[in-house]
Amino acid sequence: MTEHQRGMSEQLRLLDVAASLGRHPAHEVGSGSPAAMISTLDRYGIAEAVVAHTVATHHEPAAGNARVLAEVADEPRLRPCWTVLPPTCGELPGAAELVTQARAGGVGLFTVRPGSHGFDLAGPDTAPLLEAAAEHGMPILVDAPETDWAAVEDAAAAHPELWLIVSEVGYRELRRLCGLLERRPRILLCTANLSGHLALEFLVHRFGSHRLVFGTGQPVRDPGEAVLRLLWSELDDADVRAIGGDTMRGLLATSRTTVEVA
Amino acid sequence: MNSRAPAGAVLSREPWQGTPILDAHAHLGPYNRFFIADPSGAAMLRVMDRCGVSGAILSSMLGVELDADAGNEETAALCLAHPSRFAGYVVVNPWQDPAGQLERWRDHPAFVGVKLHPDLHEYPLDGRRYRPVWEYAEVTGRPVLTHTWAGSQFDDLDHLDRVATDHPRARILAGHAGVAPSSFGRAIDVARRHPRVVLELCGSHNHGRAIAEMVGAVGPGQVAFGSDFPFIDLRMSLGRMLFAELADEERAAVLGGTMASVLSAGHAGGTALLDRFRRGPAH
Repeated sequence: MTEHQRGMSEQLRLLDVAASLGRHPAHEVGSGSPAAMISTLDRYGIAEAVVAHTVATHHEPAAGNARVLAEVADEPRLRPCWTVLPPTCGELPGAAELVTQARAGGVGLFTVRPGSHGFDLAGPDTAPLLEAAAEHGMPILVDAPETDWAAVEDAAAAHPELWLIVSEVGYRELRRLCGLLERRPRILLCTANLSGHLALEFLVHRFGSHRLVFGTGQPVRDPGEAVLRLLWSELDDADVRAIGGDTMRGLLATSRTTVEVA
Repeated sequence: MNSRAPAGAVLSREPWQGTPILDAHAHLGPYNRFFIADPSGAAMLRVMDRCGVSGAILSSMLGVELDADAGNEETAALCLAHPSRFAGYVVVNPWQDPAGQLERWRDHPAFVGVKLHPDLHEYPLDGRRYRPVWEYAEVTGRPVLTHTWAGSQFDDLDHLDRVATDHPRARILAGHAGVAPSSFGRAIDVARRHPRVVLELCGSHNHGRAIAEMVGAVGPGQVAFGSDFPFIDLRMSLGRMLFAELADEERAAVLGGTMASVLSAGHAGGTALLDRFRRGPAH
């Protein structure tokens, strides 16, 4: 290993922001246990992961959110992500209380599934949740297939302080995406299934590496996609480190008043 | 089973230095339905060098989505400019004189096989307009790469099964292996029935788990790495392959050995590409 290689390996600590524990109804992902996740992280050279739980994403958010806290409690390489809902039906605590409880539990990231869970990302129902998240510097991750670009734009416009991370963008969306990124500086992209040819390099050149965060979409997605895509990109080491974990660690660790990502 | 993963080598950011890689499913040029950052041959070469990919067999997107004749000319030009890195598939569009396309490019040194896209051309893989292709494939031994998409009225795996049954001497690369994880079992069944059918791996929904299952079921000699670049970034498919739980010899076959064998069986074409591949990654 050359000095450069040694230096890169030592400094780069990949943080996967798009991972999940739990079983899956439509993919062969095994037990979804924390131990299995750690084994996978080791295999792919990923230092740590922010994990949601399929009990929350595919069954009942309240139960799944409690489950993820319990399952990562003894595993410092896993950080919890809560799956959240608009407060309309009272399934979760009110927005401000939800964020407070999340912070108390060490939760640094929310995820929403508007399509699967039957609500709209933008609009009055979800506004209190987005407002509370924005106020407390809690980023929210949404998979692109769970919503539409107009809703993403409307939500970002209505909550300009909100860090909104869009994942699973695919390879067909750059014409829609570039204007959005230009207009909404707190929209970030996750690298899970960000699969356009040279799109990663194009986006970094156009918008800066601070607009992208590393994620794999595991276990449904193969982590090798995102790992190889970032590590064997044409980006320099500083950009790879920023995308690989540095930017997201800043968002996870700090409150709104001290976050400086741009 | 080799569970050694190349994480350390990947994290070092150095290109692949292992067994040589051939990309069995590549394209060239822009595509009307979405923006591609740089679909040029120069950018493709740059990505290949970055990743340590020896060669790619490609078809022009112009040929696939609009004009077979003009697109095949584009393919030929790039392959002639870089004969050790690229070889071409002749795009045959069933609505644009299939027999004429095959005849025009039959002896051209750039081409090593045929590319079909029944979904885009809205014509079934087992339709009569494709008959010259299957005759060509059986006579020349050259492979036919066809798009396959489970559930399609034009190129479902049942269509593949029928043409493989009707043309047992044709070497057929099943592009995407049906694409959906739920279809991979059917793709495996087709490959088991037809030893000259090769499952090609690119697409948005594949996974190292599925690759290992395919290799376990049909053997590495009927599975070939492809990326679909510059349609999709090459590294998406390559990442799955490099980390998949495969024995070293299985990974070597899927990454390039299988495709090299397929090309070697065809009559002429791709000589420089295969020479470079056989010399190994240092070249």
